Amino acid sequence: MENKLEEFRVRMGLTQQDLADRVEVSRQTIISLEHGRYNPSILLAHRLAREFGVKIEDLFLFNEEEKK
Amino acid sequence: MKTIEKYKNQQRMYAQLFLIAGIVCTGAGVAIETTNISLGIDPRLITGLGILLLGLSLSAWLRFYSAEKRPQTTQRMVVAESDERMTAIKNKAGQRGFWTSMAIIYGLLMWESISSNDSLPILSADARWYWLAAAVVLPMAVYIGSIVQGNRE
Repeated sequence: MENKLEEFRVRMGLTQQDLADRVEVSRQTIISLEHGRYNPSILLAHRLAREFGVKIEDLFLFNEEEKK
Repeated sequence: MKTIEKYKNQQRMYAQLFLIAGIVCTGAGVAIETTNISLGIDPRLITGLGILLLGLSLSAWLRFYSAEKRPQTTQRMVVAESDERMTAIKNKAGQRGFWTSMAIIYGLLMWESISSNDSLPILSADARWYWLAAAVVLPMAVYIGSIVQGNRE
């Protein structure tokens, strides 16, 4: 799933480790998320969206075609 | 830092439990050895178990003190252990390991069943031992390999 995680993180001046510490996941998970290699759970997506003060759908771009 | 406090309390509790159990076991083992009471088993097994428990206690104390000294590193380690991506990788690896184990054990069961009516040669005790050893080692190798592969993805 595409996302704007890196964009929001850089805008807030956070490193991958800072963001990982804030949402209590490993740095590897943030890297995988940013590269679109891992889709987060709804709980993690919610925590990330809350961290950036945006809605989940603003952060993660769901593409209907992706699952097909 | 709620996570780290929980982790420290947990390690302290394990350390105390293992210490008590270790002292009781080692003491009982030594006492049985010196009084020559016959239990039908070698009393050194009880002493050995006690020493193992004391070792586990020591390792839990070390984890506790390490968490006290380096809270941030420990926090990251605890977070990495419960990390959802890592959990998903471990689940997938566990499933692969399980099916590998099932396939090997099922193979042995089938061989034993078929060989009982002379359709296949009867396995020697050594061959059966190697087959069972493979049922332990191969799933573990598959599990570890899957975790490594999952982390690379």
